[in-house]
Amino acid sequence: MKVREGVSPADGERVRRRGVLDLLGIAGCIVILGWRIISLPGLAVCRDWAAILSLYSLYSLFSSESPRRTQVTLCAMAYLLAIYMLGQVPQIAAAWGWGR
Amino acid sequence: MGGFLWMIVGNAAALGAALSILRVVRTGDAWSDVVLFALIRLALISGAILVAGLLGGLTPVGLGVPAAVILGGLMVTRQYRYWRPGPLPTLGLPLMAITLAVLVRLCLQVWFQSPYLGDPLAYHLPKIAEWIRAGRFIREMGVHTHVTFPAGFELLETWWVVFLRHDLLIEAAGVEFVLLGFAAVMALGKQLELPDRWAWLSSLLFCLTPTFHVSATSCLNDSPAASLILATMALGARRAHPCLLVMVAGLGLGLKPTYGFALPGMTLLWWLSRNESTPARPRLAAAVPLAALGLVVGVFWYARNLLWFGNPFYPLGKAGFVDPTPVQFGPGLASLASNLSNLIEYRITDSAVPYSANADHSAGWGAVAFACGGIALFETATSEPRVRRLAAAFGLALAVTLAMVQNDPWNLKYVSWVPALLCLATAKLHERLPGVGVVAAATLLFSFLGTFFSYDLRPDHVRTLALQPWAERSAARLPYGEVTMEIKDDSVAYFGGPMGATYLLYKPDFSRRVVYLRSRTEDELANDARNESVSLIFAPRPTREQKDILDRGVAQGTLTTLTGCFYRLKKVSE
Repeated sequence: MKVREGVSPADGERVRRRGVLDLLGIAGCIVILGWRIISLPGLAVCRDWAAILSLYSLYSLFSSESPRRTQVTLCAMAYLLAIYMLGQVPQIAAAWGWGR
Repeated sequence: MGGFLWMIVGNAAALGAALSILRVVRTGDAWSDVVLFALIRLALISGAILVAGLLGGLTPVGLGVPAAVILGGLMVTRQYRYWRPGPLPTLGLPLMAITLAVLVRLCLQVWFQSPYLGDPLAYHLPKIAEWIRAGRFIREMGVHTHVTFPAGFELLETWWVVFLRHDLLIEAAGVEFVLLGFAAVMALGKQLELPDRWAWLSSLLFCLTPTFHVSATSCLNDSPAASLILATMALGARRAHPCLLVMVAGLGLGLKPTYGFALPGMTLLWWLSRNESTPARPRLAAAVPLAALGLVVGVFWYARNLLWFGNPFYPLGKAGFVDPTPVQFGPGLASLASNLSNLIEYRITDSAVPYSANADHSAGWGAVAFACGGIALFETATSEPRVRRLAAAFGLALAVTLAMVQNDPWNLKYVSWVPALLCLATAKLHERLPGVGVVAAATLLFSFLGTFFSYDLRPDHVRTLALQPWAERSAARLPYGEVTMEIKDDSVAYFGGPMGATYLLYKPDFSRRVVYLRSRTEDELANDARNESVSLIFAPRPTREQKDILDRGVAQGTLTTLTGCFYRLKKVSE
């Protein structure tokens, strides 16, 4: 196998295997994203955990060196937390006897 | 007072014996040893209750005297020289404060809560009440179709009620498993090379995941099973000696068969960790008996069912078996597909109903799993081989479990251990991206506030329980209860359906006798009740046949309707 200068054959094999895993990951994310877009009505996909996670994973796979990666990760987490709380806060309020 | 002293002696003996055994089987890794210590203690207690139940020694003295002898032996041999707690990790004030708050809240829950949930009241706890009343194991366990299921957790609950002959502290059995789950996640975190503080955070995050946390004090056995799965994972990843793994597997299988569904994942983790450094070798003279003890405690229930009914899984697998709460027997790909799809589509959001012990229509994995866990797992699994290994094991265990359980509104309580992986990944990602800790802390706070009350135990229920004197505290007075009147009788006959809350009839101190009637005609019902010298009949949620019998009894004048589900049998002279 032809490898770059300074990279051992074992490293080359690891890089190749990593490339295959990345491709599989990308395919998986696209399949999940497609499934969620098709199966959800309208803008519901914007609140869908699996869709957001797939989108984030795609971003992560394509921009591993991006300087904005930390911010994007934290924003994604904060966005998901907001979605979760929007769904759960009324339920907790109900359990506390404050709501419905 | 005597019972309380015996309880102190019993617990001191169990702690001392577990610490002494740990000394010769330790792995050498601090948190794996904490897990091992907790498991040894649980195995010893389970074994003690099993033996006492079989020999008729389920009394404060029956257990207390042998415990006193063991404690004396430990003192004479000066075993206490080795009972030194390890140093506490440096946590920082916020983490310490919330840990203390969670612990205090758990103690208050144990004190003020009383068994309240349908399944424990219908089939987990009536058998404990019968055991305590008889002072030994007996064949009568109630009328629910699930009373014959393995009862490993009931052994530990029995430990917390037998000395006081009262169910005041029964929830302590569940709290023990919260601590075990905490230690197991901590051990897994240390294996991922997390610093103490972040391993602690991941453990705390996991312990506050809604289903695990709420279920732990509900007298259900799902959180304990989850803790045992995590403990096995922790010891397996540490390549603990096979004897120790057999011990915990025995405990798990005896506690709940759903533990067995996760075994393929646990085995995979053990195999994937084969290149990890081997821990200290335990002394076989202690490890082999521990394995045997775990196996006996686990296999006992299946052997009993085989002996009594000819089927270790009775009543599952029985031809024509109609279950009021159906349980899948065997794997099903359709179950896997529907369960997984439900999980991803809406149950992960937990937004259908408030948190509950049964994870009704939700997963109850909490905010951390939803907001941080998925992203963190993706990020860490792609770069950290140990996280990848853990993810593969958890993934396989999750897939097998989802394939083995039928799609119903509460089946995700069987996988309440999964968020542990997501909590660990979150803490691991925090090492690379420190801001993750801020989001994780927000989810921690949210989970803490969100798990004060649940769908089935709301503030007015807690108030009703807390306002009762501790000696009389019972969920019979909760607004949704079926026991709608003050019962003066010392004995009550039960002639209701399998789902009735029979445990509430015994009273918290098990002073009331409950007779289960299985009569097939109204005359038989009257005769059976008279033969047992009971005149009060409790018949909630009767089956169609039972309802007909009761109606005919009322029409004939043998029975009088009282209030709600209660009937009074007329005296023969009337």
